[in-house]
Amino acid sequence: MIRIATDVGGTFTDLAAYDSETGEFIIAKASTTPEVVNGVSDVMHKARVDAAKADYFIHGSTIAINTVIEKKGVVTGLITTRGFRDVLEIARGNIVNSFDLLFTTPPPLVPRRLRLEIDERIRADGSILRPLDEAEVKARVRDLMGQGVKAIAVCLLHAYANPVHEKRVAALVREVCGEAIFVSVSSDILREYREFERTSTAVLNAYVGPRVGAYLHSLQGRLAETGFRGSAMVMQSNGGTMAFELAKVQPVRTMESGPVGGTVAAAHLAAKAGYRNVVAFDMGGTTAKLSLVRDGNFEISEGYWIGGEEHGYALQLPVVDVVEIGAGGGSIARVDEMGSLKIGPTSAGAVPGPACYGKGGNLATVSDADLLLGRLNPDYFLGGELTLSPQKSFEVIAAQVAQPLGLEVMRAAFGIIKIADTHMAHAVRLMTVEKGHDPRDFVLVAYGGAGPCHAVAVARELNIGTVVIPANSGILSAVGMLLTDAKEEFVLSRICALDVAVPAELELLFQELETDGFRRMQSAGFGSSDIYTRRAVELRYTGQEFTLRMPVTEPTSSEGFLGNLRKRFSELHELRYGHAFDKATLEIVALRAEVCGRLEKPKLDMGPHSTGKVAAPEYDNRQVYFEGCGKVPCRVYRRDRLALGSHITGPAIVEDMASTTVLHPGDTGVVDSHGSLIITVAPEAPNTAAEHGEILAVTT
Amino acid sequence: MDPITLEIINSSLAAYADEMTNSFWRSSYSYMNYEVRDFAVGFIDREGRIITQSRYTHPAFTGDLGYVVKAAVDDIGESNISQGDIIVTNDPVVQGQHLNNTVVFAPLICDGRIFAYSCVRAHLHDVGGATVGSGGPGATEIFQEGLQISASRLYRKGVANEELYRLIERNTRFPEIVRGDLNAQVAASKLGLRRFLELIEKFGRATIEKAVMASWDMAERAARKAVSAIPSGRYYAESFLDNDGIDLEKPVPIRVHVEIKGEEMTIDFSDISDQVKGAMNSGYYGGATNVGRIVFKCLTTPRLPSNEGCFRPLTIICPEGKILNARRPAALYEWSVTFPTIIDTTLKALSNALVSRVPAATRGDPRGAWISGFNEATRKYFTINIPHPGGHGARPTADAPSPKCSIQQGNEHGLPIEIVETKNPVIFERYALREDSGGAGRYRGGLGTDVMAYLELDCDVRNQMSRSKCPPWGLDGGGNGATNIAFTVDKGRESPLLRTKIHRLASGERVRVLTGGGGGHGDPFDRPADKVRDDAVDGYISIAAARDCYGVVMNQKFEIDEQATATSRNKRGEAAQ
Repeated sequence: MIRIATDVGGTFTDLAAYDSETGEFIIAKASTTPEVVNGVSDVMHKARVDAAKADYFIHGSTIAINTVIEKKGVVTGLITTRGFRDVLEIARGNIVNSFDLLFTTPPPLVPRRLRLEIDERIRADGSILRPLDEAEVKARVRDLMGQGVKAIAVCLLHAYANPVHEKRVAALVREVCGEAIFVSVSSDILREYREFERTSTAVLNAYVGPRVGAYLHSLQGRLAETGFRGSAMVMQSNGGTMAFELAKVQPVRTMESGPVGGTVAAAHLAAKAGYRNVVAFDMGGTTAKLSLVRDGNFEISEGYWIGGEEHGYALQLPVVDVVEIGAGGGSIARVDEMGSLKIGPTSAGAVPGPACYGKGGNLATVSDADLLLGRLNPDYFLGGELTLSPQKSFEVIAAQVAQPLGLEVMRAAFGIIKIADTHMAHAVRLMTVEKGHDPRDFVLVAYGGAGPCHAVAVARELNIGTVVIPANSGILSAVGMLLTDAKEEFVLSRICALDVAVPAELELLFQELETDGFRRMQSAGFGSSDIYTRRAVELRYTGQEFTLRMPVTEPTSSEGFLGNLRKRFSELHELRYGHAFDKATLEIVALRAEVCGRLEKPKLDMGPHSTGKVAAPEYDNRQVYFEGCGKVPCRVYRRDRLALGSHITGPAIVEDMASTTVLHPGDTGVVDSHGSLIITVAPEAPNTAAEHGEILAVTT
Repeated sequence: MDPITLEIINSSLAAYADEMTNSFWRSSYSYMNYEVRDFAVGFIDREGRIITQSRYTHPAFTGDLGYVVKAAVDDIGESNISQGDIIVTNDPVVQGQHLNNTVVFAPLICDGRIFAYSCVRAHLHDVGGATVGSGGPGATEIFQEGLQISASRLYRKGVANEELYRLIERNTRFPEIVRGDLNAQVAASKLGLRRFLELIEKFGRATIEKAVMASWDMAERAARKAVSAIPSGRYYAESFLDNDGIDLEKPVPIRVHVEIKGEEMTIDFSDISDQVKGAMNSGYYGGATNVGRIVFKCLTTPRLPSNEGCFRPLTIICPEGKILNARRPAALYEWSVTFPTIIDTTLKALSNALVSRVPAATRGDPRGAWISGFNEATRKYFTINIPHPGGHGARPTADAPSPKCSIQQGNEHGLPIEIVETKNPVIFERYALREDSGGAGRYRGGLGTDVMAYLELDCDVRNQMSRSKCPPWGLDGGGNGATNIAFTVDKGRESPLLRTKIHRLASGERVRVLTGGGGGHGDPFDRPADKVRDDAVDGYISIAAARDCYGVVMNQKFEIDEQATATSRNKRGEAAQ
């Protein structure tokens, strides 16, 4: 069986493929082209993979999210309950930046003239207060058609509780327009309350629908030309995959299609090295993306904003919890009006890029600091594709950071790195400690162009003892896509006190949720033995709003099922929020079921490595600056020349095509059987305080 | 101070405040906290100075926090405070805000002495008093408004003071919710404490102290620089609120003097209304200091974290007995109702000096209508805060944003209708933009909202809005926004809902709340005709308003009559000359 994964990024289109019969693992990279499908064709051609023999094609792309950010969606209409067409524009009425007198709000994706109301009303309990006026629905749909809409979103009040009117409206839209119009129905996408967030989600789905659909259609055409006859899947924001046909109906689920693959691969490779708790650390040119894997599972969050909360659009769907902060290689370092040194969030991007790229960038960036400290090799960046100019870096850091602060230039460069590393450590802390997890129980898996360069310092800041740098860290998202299962999620909002819940009834509700998913997995070609489910309930104390999601691993019929649930909830609440009540009533708020189709995973094992120490072939030696010791001679290795089992001792630099790994004095590394470089991080040096004192002495 | 260490320490403190914010928000029990986010957190130093405060919460909860904490510590006696103590206070004498706003804080003890306090101030759902949710119209003394908690220990050396908890629970209509929120406050302040101690362990107390002081100095420099960009001079503006809450015919004058002298600003409330009979009063810290600091920060350092240094170039003058410095036992329930009008009036005073930085007036009110009752079926009290985002003023170079809460409420969120209906016996019939409510202008003022609801049982409703007579003003020739108004609707007949009275809303009777719009900016006749037409097509303005306010004539199909428009716009131009 052959599986092919392709991941379209802003600059490159990556491919990873695996043939389970021969065990062959193929990777390739091509430039992303303006007509995106061409890049996909190119990379498949380059990889010489036989698509006709492939069973699965898995695809990740940024088309959905870019359509929103670039505002390139279609003219979209909204049909909603009488009295509520402005929910989309009013949003939640909050001012994100509290003291900003001139704050702005983003224009709604559907202008008011295209938001039309119909007569109907459902109550919070799902009962019908006013019946649907079907004649009016048809009239409004014709109005929208007359105004040239290409997509219609339908979101009615309390449809999460009873979708009957939404379903009927959708049918009437079809009746009036046929297949000419893309229809997006809120209750098909999510069954949760909060009308603004649900409306916004349905609208986003409609807005990107036709464009994503056309893209997937054209990609299917290309695949057909290659002779591919297997299942084509798209990566979802929640870490699973979905069939092209479903993605065409619910493209909103693919918004975060890109970064998720990396998290999946990070989890997998760490697990192979024996680690179940992972901080996935993906640092690229503009941002660092962090996500958490706990006990082998990713953390999922509900709801986020496309384009940021201040100027973006709300999306209420489960997404692999990725915290993104403005700290990448291209992040700009500057001294602000208060005289303090700030890093990011603005970035020099790829063009013009950091000053050292010599492409016209003249602002000091994190990469300039890395270069000046000797971490980056000016002659081997992107495998030598680009020659970097340390002189340029020196000039901009001297002028823009060192002089205004009265620091010596190397100190200024080190300060830039130190602050960027601290920001990232804070972000990790926010994801771990705040949720009651101790970062010391995690390993840091680093990838992306700048990740391996900063990983060890970030880990040390958090007392994380182990850093994993995967092989192929430059195309990890594509690798991750080979490691996913098909996944569909179902939620049922149902508020009931835990004390009066009947396990047998919960069982029926769970089964009801799962049945539909089962059918869909079967029709996507999964045999019964390859379909598995995961259940969870959302619980809270009566009176609270937010819930904690409790996985349900034991059968509902097991002895003391409800009591155990309560006990586990109390423990988790104590862990997360520092208090718990023994006697307070608990409420079940929702039942959740995931239905997954198991796909065979590639074996990324590269064979046994020798148990003895393998000396690594030293490639070069250069001066590199480290905290506490200044510039010292440092061994330099090439990643592709490190045999499995190779041991290296810091200070050391490991270079490959896509990134540069830095080991500080005292750190040690070994290459494991999957080709991952496993670094044991030396504890924080006792002389760090002295180092701080030393820095202090510089300016005072 | 080394800039790198400085940045690391200060960004750490800000990150801890965010962490406390999230912890409290996600584990809280009252919708006022988890949904509306009516709370704030912060670190206060031993002297009561602000080290840092949460960024994404409620501005009016932070300006005076340091004074409240310092006074509570003085009451108990600093030497009596031990490790593991947690203190609670809503003392109106110091706080000068309504009694729901309750501060919980934990002392950070380092090297045997108090170094700082980790604080969470939140809105408790109900602390007793005349009506459900506390306070209430008609109150003329604080004693009618609920339980006054002078500084007391909720925990002593790590042990909960159950007697105090029980006392508080006895005095609220919602004991479970209030206890839950107090616990969430305790947990979040302990979290802040832990983080702060970790930072001390890493850098040492002395270094952190230096970093904090340096951050104050930096904020002060930024604020001074911003003030010095305003031309020196004395500025004045005035406006008024409808009435004092008791006597319908007694308007409340809002007069604000601002003096800019080089790098320093004085906001002088000496001529503002005396304290009133009703509940619109506030104390010196919760009122004058708080609102003065909010408007000052908006004008000087809007994007910087809020700390003591931000406010150093600011002097606030407000004699005792004024509405912002009321003498005990003044009623305080509506403590912040005056704020939007004061903020807008201060900005109006400076609008000629800061032409490009000041928007036209907002709707000038932070509230809508409040429904409360007792549900016989569930044997429980309930309250419904009708969502009330409203109009903001047009910007000097842009139309106003969509309806939002008032500036002093910041990141406060409106309640989703689906949540309100799930938890209460209420049906909303409308939650819409209010057509023609935005002030006309070259840049259009923001629209208010139009909300209508009814209950399926009898209940009480009160109109909480206090600005229906002095309209939200435009700037630079822009028109006024519509004022705030509320009605009851019985069988299609509308009657005004007066703010001084509780109205018994019969089952099925409608309550309708229309929030005001924001003022316009610039001459409406300068607004391009196609933009006026767009506004008409979208129903932001009516065809009649397009003609009367903007001089743009169009038919029912929104086709502009070019000639009639030219004539109408010229006529106005000639009249102006």
